Amino acid sequence: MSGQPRQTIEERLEAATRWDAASPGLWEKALQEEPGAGRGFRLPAVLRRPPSVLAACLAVALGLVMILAIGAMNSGVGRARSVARAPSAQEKMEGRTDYSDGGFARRESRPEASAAPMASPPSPPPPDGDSRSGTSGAEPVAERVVVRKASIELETRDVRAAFAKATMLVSEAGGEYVQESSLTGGTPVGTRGEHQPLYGSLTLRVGVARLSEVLNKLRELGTVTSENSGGEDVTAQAVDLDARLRNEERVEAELLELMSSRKDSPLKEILELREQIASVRERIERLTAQRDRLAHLASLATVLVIIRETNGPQPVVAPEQGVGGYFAERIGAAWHDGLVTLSNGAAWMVGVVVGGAIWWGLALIILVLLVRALRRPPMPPSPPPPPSAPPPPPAP
Amino acid sequence: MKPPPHSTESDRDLLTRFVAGERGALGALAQRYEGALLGLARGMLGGDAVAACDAVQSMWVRVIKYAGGFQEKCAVKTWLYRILINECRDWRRRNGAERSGVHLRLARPESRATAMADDAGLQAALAALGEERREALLLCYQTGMTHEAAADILGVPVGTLKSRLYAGLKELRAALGEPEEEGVVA
Repeated sequence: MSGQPRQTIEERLEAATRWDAASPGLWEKALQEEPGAGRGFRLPAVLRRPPSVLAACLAVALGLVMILAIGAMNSGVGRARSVARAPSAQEKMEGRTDYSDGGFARRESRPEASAAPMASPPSPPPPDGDSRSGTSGAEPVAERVVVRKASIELETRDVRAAFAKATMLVSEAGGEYVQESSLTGGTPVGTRGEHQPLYGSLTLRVGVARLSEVLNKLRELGTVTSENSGGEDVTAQAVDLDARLRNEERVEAELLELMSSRKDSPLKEILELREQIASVRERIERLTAQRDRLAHLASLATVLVIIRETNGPQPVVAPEQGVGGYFAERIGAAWHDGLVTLSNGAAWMVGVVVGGAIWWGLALIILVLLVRALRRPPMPPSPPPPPSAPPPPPAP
Repeated sequence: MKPPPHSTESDRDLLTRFVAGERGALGALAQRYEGALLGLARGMLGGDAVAACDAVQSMWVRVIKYAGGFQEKCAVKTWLYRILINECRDWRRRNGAERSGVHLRLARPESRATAMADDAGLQAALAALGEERREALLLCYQTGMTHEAAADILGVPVGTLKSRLYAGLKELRAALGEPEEEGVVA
């Protein structure tokens, strides 16, 4: 410093906003974050055909869609007849909202696997070319870090027993635990001796090494109706965190060295250095916590277990009743079933008419286009007859 | 995916081409401005080069996301700078940078200690300035930036910018213990 001329404030400000290093190409990293960007939108070739061909294609596609829609509506009516629809394990694993009604409260299910620590933003290389990004290839990847998750749906007659057995599968000695559990249903519905189906849901955190063993034991608890398993590779995040951590630790060491070599500096400079060291230490602690959390996530697998009751609700033993009571009950049941069928039919028709209004409109437009396209051109008007010869003059 | 080496197209044309599907057009745009944007971001973030890279990358993500809706109410360059300034403001709020004062400057390893000692005072004084004055100073003293362009970016009249610049310089000089100069802000 002493050998150089003192810079003015303007020069120092200009230097503070000058970037001398090569541009790190952050736009490319941003494009990788937004992979769908910049690819443009082009109409498919079929949509660039003449209108009549387009109309024919649309008509075929519309027909297919309508067939599918009607099929979906029918299955929707079928589902509406059931007392309640519990969420599938896959939906819960994906963190989708559960809208099951009939006694089940609406809740947001967000398993920890999907709430895994957000991937830290891709770290750009510093201007000095010191590679600290885990994806740059400079850092050797020691081993893959995978967050394992699985889901299994079971049906059994005794939901409570299966629920209790599933809870006992975790080995607390091994650090495993039940992250979330709920058992709902079972409350009486109406006066016909029925109750809501029991529904159990558990989120287990088990050791990765025991995952297959736990799944095998879960399969024995009932009939498996659905099973999924997968893993999220977080190696890149782990490597990136490690690289950032090493970098910060290196900076901290340099700052400490600087601090020890400038013990006779003015108090202001020493205080500034201390602030910087505290800031770096804070970042190190934050990164360490992120790395530990990632390691924790990877060491335990997440297993979501859904347990449903087989064959719907279990009838409660009805009290003794006479012939008259039985007759009245049957009439009431028949009336109830009739009303349900009527309302289901009405709902289906309304669904077809209202829900498919757009499709009906489209079908109408396409029909009109087709009719116009296929209609023959009108015949040209016939030429007018030649003028007739003037009548002969009357004979004298 | 490398940008064309020297594009003579206007910024607006490059953005239009990017929206139409040419990813390399964004590279050409970055070739023009990324260095300057990084410098500004580093200045605004207390000399933290890593945070500056993060801010500029976030800016590009926003540009990619909203390029299709860009309206010609301002120049593309102005738009880029405005996004970046907002990113930097958010970063400072998130990290409490307004209170923490001096920050780490990550320059080349061999010169890091020296550069840090040189710039620590300036960074501390800048951090002590209000946001408006600091932004005005950093923008106006960036190479190639005119007062009109800086005022456009900050969305203030040129007169307002100059008064902020004058007050900022005065405050900065007082903080650094340098003598007053007359007629700095022209």
